[in-house]
Amino acid sequence: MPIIVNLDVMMAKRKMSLNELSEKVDITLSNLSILKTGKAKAVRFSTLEAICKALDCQPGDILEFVEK
Amino acid sequence: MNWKEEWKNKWETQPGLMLITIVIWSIFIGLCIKAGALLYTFTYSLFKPSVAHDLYEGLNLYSLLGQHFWYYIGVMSFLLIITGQKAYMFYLMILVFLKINLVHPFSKEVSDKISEISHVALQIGVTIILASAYFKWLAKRGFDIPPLGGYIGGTFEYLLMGAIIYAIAQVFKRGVEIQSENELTV
Repeated sequence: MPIIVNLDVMMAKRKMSLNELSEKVDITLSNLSILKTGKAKAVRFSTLEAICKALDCQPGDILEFVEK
Repeated sequence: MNWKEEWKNKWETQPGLMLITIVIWSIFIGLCIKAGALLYTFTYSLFKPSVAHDLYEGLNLYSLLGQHFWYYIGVMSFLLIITGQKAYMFYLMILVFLKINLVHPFSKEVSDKISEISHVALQIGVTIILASAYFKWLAKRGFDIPPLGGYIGGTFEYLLMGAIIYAIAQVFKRGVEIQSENELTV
């Protein structure tokens, strides 16, 4: 898929673990893992908002479009 | 979860579907008995022709057997194939009903089985058309052949069923895609 999820990069920048993020955004670990590994087919705005708030970043920092 | 708990759970959550499963099981067993009886009497009639007087529930093909052996084989083959296909269709239905899970109703397994049922129903319809044409052709050529409509069933019922189940299978396929999308939405 040409949309790349850079969640792991942002988490590394903020030095935040998956468990910690999961607790902060109130999303299960399995769902966060689906998002992190790029298996997700869609992301809700509410999820994106919560992740951006927790990682103090913009949606563009997490999602990237790469033409293949 | 072992099968006993699974059955108990299914009876509690989807009793209607389980009741229909039992009805389908009964029909499947009936069709297997019919196919088995036909196969047995047919094989027996090859060695003892008088058995052809009553092959199954009054089916009398004794005079046809006397007139032409290979046409008799043809008629019996059609009857056996159609009964076998019907039994197989009900077997697939049992599999579908046992696999249906109302919590996650759209699974690829069920979708594939429904598609297969539609194909089998269409095949039965086509086989019945061929069998009817063959029986008519035999009757036209002066062979003594009893009315066999009751033994093979109606053509259009199966074609209609096949077409409707095919449409349902296509909708189900889309349902599987939507469910998978929904499950992968974070």
